[in-house]
Amino acid sequence: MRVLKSRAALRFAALAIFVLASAALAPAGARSAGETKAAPAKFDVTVETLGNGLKVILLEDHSVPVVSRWTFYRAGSRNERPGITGISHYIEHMMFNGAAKYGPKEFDKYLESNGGYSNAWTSEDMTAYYEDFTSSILELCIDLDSDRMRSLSFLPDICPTELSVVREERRLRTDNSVDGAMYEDLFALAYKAHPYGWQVIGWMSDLESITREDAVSYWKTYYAPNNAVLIIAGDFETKKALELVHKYYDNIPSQTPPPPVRTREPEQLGERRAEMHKPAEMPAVLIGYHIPDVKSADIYALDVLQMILTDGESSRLYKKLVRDLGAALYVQAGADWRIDPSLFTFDVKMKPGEKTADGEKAVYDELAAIAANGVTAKELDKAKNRVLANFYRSIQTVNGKASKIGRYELLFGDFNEIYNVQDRYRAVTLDDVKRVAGAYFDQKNRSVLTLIPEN
Amino acid sequence: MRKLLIAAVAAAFVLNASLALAGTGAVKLPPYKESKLGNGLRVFVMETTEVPLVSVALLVPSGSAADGPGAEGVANLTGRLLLKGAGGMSAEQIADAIEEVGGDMNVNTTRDYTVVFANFMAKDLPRALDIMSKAVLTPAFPVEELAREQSLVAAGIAGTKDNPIAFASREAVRVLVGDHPYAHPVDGSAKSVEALTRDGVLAYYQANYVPAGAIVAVVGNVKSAQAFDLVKARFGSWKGAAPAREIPALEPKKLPGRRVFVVDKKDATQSQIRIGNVAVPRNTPDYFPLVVSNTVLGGGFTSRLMNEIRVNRGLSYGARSGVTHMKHGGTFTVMTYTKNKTMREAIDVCLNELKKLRDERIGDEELTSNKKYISGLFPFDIETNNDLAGWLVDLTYNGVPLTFIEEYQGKVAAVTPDDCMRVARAHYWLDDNLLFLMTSYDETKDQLQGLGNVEVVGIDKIE
Repeated sequence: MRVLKSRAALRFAALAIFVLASAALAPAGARSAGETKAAPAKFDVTVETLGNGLKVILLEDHSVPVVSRWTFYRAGSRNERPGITGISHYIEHMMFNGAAKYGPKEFDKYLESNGGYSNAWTSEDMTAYYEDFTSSILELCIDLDSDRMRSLSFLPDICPTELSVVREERRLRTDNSVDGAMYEDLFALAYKAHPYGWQVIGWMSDLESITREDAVSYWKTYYAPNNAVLIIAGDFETKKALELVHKYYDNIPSQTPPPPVRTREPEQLGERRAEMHKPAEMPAVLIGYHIPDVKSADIYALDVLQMILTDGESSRLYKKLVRDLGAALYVQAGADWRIDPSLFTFDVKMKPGEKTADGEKAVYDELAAIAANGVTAKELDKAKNRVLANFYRSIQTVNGKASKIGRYELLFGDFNEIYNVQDRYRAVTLDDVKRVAGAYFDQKNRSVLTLIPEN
Repeated sequence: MRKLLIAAVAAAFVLNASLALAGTGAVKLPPYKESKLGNGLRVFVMETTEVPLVSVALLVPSGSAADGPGAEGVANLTGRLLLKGAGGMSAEQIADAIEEVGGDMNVNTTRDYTVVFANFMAKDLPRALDIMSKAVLTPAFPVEELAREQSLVAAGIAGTKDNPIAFASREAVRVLVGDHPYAHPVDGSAKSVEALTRDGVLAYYQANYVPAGAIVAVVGNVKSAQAFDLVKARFGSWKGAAPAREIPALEPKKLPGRRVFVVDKKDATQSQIRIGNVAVPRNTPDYFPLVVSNTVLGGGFTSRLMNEIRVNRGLSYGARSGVTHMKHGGTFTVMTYTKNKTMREAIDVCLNELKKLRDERIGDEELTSNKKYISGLFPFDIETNNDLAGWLVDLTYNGVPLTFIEEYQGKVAAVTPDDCMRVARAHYWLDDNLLFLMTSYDETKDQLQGLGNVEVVGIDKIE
């Protein structure tokens, strides 16, 4: 999942000060897709849709005396337009800055002083807000969240200050980060029409000029109950929780549904290449191929292909680029699950002095080899075992369960897809992997961004 | 999730059954058994049932502080090589054996110790322990793997320069700690790593990979008696006595005035700021007052630094403070970053907040709020099998009894405003500390007046 995790910096600063240095270059498997996609058992949930359109999903789970409460909104950078890029993420920040009942600073004050933790993230497709807390403060958390859904303030003196915080976030993650800057350029190269062409953080010029009116109008449309899903998982009585949900959310008016995202990315008719010249220690190359949206049946075979190519030290490209050629520091790939057609990306960081052309060639050769000869049964089994273990890793907590339910609900329109996904992975055949390797990785369908270090 | 800020905390969020007492948020450890093998290896087995997974952590009590002069990075390199050929298996066979069943295994070296970590489906525990015991007891250190890892580590060290947060934090520690064995980064430098030899790695291995002082924890959906037998069968024959080596204490030495150390990065549009001093080791009696006062200063979203720097002024996306405790010493650091133009403003806010924490008692409401925040979050820090295994080996290594976990919230509650002021004055220095900056010096040099004695080093001069 590719998201811009927004508010938190480091929960354990003490650790981080030492840890960061060594963690810095660990290939963040983050972009890989092997994340969480199989479901052996069903969650015992209660689902209800309020009169104002808010869908509520409750998962009662008494294994621990804690609760995780989430609100997902169908608002992400795909809903933006030039001039207000980054506004979904900006509003994510503003959601902590005061509403009618709980004024500025009070959300965090009430939550933290009662032993709760909150955070939020924004992706291309959605925004999610959550709190983790002990069972006794469920009502407070529901009150806090419904307050901002009902009556977010956008105080005129706070709006520009928070926009300034977001610009610092952009300086950190994009302008002063080689990797961040490269991803921004790759997507801008690969998408000519669709909003996936800009990053969740938004362009700096927009972050310098988004107005309060822009934000209020966007918030009114997208942060309405009929555009949201509420998930509560953990230690509570369903009946009691449902009463609280009605008490606090029922009277929030629904709004005219947001306009659909109409723009489709036209077919790419030839390779697109670009360079980035930037002070950097190592050459690098990013390669992106257009792939279908999350509802395509091919998504699962593409995931398996990604795992076989780059997950772990027994993967094909790791062996080739990092071990045999010794030319790369790391290679990672990701087949992002998105509402609209997405990109399958390769990220190859070369060692100092090595040539990106060698990294590119290894990627293309391996894709061609799989398209011609397929993969082995052992490789396919390995990928499927990884999917299963990763699924369990992702549901060890109520937070993990709630976030999975929300994410599937927003991506597929139905969280019950959690249960079907494992079957879909199981159904992937050797022929499927071979077929997708041939179908999507045509030279005409790719965009390539090369980093030229300038020191 | 995407970037580095997150990578550092990514492991955090998972929860296992029966960690907390119903309704109170109080913490209780799942049942566990502890024993010691004849060779000195301490073994913990803890049963959890939430998911069919198991974690294993094996701690070897030597880290980069044991590298020795000229061999900086040898502990880390040795750790990295454990899985690159052992017990008759090649690196590729080991990777296959781990990954074909969806397992994860990695080796992580810190300044104090090295931990081999495994996370597998519970049914694969025997396989995990087979691989781990081969890696730890009979590593082969093939020369071609050594060369490959040296090259990867060296490239990684160079690449840290492309990540301002990581680079600034790494270099701030180096400058702060000075000539103690904790000073150099765990990875070493590109130069020191490239100079390491197989003989050097082998000598390090033979001296330090011994059962005396080593600790293994198995946590997960397994039967404890069976897990213990599996561990004993694989590690019972491990031999060796503890190395005769003393890491000296890292003494807090006050400077004659503030030291301002500037790394000049000409293309930076944002300045990285670190303020800190040498603090105290893990076994300090001030542990809990430090936790509480540090949370007030730079813990959550309502901390003083976050409030003044981010919320009130919009100067930065993040502002934190932290105490890092190690066995033989510790550091205290404030970290933030802001656009070059407002660097001085952010520095002044940080210094002012340090001064306030030293000069004024924390009010009751603020103190209570922070204590509840710390206690409320603690259950989330001991959630997964991985978390628990990590706590078991880390606490045991540091000589902290495991009752620490169940007593944590009570000890936080007992901290007083006077405790906080006392530890702030003792451990958060103001006029005799280090101010570390990574910035575009030409753009920001006019902002440095009156801050202290300034040294400037070009980023290209740092290895």
